[in-house]
Amino acid sequence: MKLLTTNFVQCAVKSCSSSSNCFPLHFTECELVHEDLEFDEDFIKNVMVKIDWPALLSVTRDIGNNSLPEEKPNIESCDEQVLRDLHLVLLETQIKDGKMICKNCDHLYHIKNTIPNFLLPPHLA
Amino acid sequence: MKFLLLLAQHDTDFRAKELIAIAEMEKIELNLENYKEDSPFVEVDLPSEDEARRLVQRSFLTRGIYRILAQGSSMDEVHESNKKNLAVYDEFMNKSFKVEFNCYQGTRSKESQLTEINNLGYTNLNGRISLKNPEVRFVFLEDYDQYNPTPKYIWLATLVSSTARSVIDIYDLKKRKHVGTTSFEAELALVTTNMAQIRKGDIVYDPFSGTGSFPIAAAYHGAYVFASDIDRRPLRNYGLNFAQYNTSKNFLDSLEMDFTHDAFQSRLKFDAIICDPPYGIRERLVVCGAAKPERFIGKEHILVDNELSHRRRDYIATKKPVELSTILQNLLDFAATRLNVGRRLAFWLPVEDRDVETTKIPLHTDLEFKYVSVQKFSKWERWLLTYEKRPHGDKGPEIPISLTDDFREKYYTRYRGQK
Repeated sequence: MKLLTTNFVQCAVKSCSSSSNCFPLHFTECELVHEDLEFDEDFIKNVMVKIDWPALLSVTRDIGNNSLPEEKPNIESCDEQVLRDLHLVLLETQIKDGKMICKNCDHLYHIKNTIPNFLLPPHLA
Repeated sequence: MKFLLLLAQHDTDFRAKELIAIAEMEKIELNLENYKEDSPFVEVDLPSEDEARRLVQRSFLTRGIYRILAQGSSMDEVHESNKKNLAVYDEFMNKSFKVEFNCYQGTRSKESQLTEINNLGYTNLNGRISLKNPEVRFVFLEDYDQYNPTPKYIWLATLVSSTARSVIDIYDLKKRKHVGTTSFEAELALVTTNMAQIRKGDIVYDPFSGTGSFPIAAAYHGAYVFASDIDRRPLRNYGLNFAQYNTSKNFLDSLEMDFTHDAFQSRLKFDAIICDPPYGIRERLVVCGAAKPERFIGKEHILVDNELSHRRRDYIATKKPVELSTILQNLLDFAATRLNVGRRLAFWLPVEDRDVETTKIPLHTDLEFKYVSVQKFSKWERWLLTYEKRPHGDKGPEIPISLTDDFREKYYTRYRGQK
């Protein structure tokens, strides 16, 4: 699962959707992998508009990366290197294995072999 | 300017709608009043060769578009009308060229072809003849009635643009690395991306992805894709196919997820949603939950190795059967809230024999119904429905989904039971 995706997923339990705590999920015990992917400047610029920066910071801290700035970079005025760094963080960095926990209901989701599992047990479905 | 479209002569219910979808997307005014279901030829009027090119270059069911130079019901008529219009040849005068024949439902002998080519001597073309790589291709397009040795109509035209048809072969399932029982044929999966008007840079979602037939087709246009499926198995090795087609960068993620309990934040909006929902024939029609809830009472407290069982890595969520109509209603509701305005939902629907003219197509108040195309099989049909998200505040009528009720049951009792 790419870090980009962590910025768009929340707890799948219906009763959590109204809580602000269901996003972002809390990530622990994550094993990261890096995949080289072609850089697409237009896409990074488009997707940065949609990124919730505090949520991304929360996830990167969860996985032990404190290198991102506190403030969301201004994609219109930043140089290409910043976009390339964002490409590295959002798309090339992937969680191969790990756990995601909802801060509202404490439900635990697993990421297995890069595929996150959002299926719910019957008492939560 | 007069152009001639040459269409593929199969999946005829999809051809015109595909062109209409592309024309809308490219903002080209297209009049298909000459279109006939039983003919691969359509004459169209377009402002210039640029529009002609943009109309067909991403079409999968069009073979080519030609600029008409002369036409008639016989070769004599063609040459006659050609001679009246020789000024058009000025621009081809010094270009390398080739003359070809393209005959529908008939053939012309090599000798006769050569005679007609030599008859073009009056055009005084000065360019070099190049059979391999000509700058201009002149083509006689001939329309025959079956078993009739003389054509009923002939056009002399120059090829303006070929189409995306050659892509179908590259995406052929037989050559694909990762396929499964539910993989969707390449040609109509690609056509679906045109109905949904998928472009470069779009974010596209397939909620019933399987091995990824639709996401792969969307990535061909340069779109970025999310995929999910309730069954984890086809999602493994998912990246292989994108790697095969050099579109790895376009694959965002595949999620093991129940579409009726999705985890996507509602602020994530999609530019297109395309899918082939499960019919319950080749794959189970299920969602998360217990089929017999009484058997699961208290099971959320079971501990395995001091760990709640449903929190363990190897826990497998139980699933319960669901009606196809429930899934489809969910799909319409999801698309209505998660699509960007003006963008599209295209999905396939299994239908037992029904008249597409009299059947009530399901409608959602926030989605405008665009078109339905029918692919016929011997005993059932598959319909491709396309919708577009209405502007905010614009509400249309609503018709709940009813036409798929008990498709699965009918499929097994009526079709499979019949000898």
